[in-house]
Amino acid sequence: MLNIILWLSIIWLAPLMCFVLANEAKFKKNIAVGVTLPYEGRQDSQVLARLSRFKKELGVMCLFLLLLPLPGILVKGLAGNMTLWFLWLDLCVFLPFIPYVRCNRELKRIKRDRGWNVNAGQTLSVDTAAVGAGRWLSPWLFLPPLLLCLLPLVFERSFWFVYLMDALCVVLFWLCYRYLYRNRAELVDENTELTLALTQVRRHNWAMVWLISAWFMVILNLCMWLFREKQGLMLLLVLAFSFLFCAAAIGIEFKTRRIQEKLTSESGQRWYRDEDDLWIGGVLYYNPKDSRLVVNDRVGLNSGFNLAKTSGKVIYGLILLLLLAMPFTGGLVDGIGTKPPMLEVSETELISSRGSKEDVIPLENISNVELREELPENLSRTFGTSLETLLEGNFFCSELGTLKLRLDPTCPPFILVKTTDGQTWLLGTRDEACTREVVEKLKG
Amino acid sequence: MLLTFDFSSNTPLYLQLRNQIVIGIAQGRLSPGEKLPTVRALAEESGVNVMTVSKAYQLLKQEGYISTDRRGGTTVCGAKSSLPLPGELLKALRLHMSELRLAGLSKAEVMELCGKLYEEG
Repeated sequence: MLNIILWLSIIWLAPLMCFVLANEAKFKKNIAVGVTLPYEGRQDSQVLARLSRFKKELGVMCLFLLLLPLPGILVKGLAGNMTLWFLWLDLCVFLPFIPYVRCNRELKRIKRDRGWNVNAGQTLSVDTAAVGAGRWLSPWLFLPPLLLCLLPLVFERSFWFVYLMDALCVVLFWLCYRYLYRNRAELVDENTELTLALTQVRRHNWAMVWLISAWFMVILNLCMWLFREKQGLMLLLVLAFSFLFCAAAIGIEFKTRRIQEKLTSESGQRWYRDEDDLWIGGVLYYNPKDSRLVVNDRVGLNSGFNLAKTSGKVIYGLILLLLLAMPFTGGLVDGIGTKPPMLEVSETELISSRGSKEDVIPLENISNVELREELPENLSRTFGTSLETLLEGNFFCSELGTLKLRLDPTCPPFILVKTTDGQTWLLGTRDEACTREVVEKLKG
Repeated sequence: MLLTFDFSSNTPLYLQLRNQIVIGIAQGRLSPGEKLPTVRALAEESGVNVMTVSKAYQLLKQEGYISTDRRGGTTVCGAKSSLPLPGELLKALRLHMSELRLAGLSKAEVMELCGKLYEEG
């Protein structure tokens, strides 16, 4: 069942990825699949046939990606599943770009053959009347969500780490809003009004995405705070709001694309901007003469980086490394899970350890020791590790409040230790006899 | 007015910018008193280095095509009334005339070509 939930949580990425790329086949700002074509190119039979083939190829790719996880459902264990899960995610990110880049190349060839390279070359155009148009949103607009994220800290601190991280995310979203956007006019042709309208549409929707993201963090925090004792309901609400958030973000992207398509439906009949030679495969911007790192994608809302800059190479390199390293997380999780939690009682201390991690509780500080055959209900992690065979770190439950855990949930019994300084520990080992012996020593 | 930077050209970028603004003024696409983008905004827009844009603006200011004011920003000055023509311009014109003559164009053909280009701006 866990496998199916795991796969269902990401399977929608394949159709979404293919749908986003298929949308590139529609002409927006005179561009289709990363190739700028004149108005007459939109009616060219060869162009239309290639675009149609591109959409079919994406459909096949989507079907392939949807069928690929089927054997994965049969794999047992979290580590193995995570490896397959991330491997599939990598394929989902890279594979749809194969038909995209192929189509981009062929469209460029058609463009050359037809003599449509009117103003091609490594050129970059600017409309002086549209430079610096638009204003940034005031950072104060991000202050209410930031304060609301921090609000639960006033009332309770058990999930302090989560509240703080969410508040930091709001700050990060403002930084992304302000610095991941290249303040450049959306020049398409000589029509300055069109340029200004397109620029305004992009700026407005860009701001919307980041503001919605900031308020989404507020909702997450409030759910966490208000429903912390009803874990099931909290999880359900978090999932529902995450779904709504994703839908809103995708909706804004496609709304922007639709407006771009509509506003430029008659463009490209005279002069039109053509910067194809600055884009590798229609995907990656490469311009050594551009001193800026951030670059706006030509279609939609997204931003990218200038690959000609060292910092751009480093960022893309890190993203690539991260994507390629993801499947190894399964092995890492497996490694963490294999190290058993240990308990040891000396003359003066109770030592709970796992690998290099160790916590020492002085015996004189222990006020109460209890042996429990089951874990408390509605146990939720606030900061730490939660695996099939390991619970470690800070947790919360309505019965005991905030508590620290280091145990294997599949190996009862567990030792509940309370200290005079108000801390609660729930500890265990994988050896039942050893755990019972520790309790006897502590009680003795 | 549209400006195009050709990164593969041998002409330096600051000169490309300067030349396009001069042509724009001559053609009437930039009218006297019209505001030009700030150095920083134009650099941000084009991706060209701030120093490159600044150099072009400095040159245009020296030549009297634009003026800068702390409050008003950069504005187009329009046609220059200062005569005689700068020595550099005359030198360049002489060179181009010689090249046209060597290319086999008659005086009448050169005059016609010049007249056409003059009308275009």
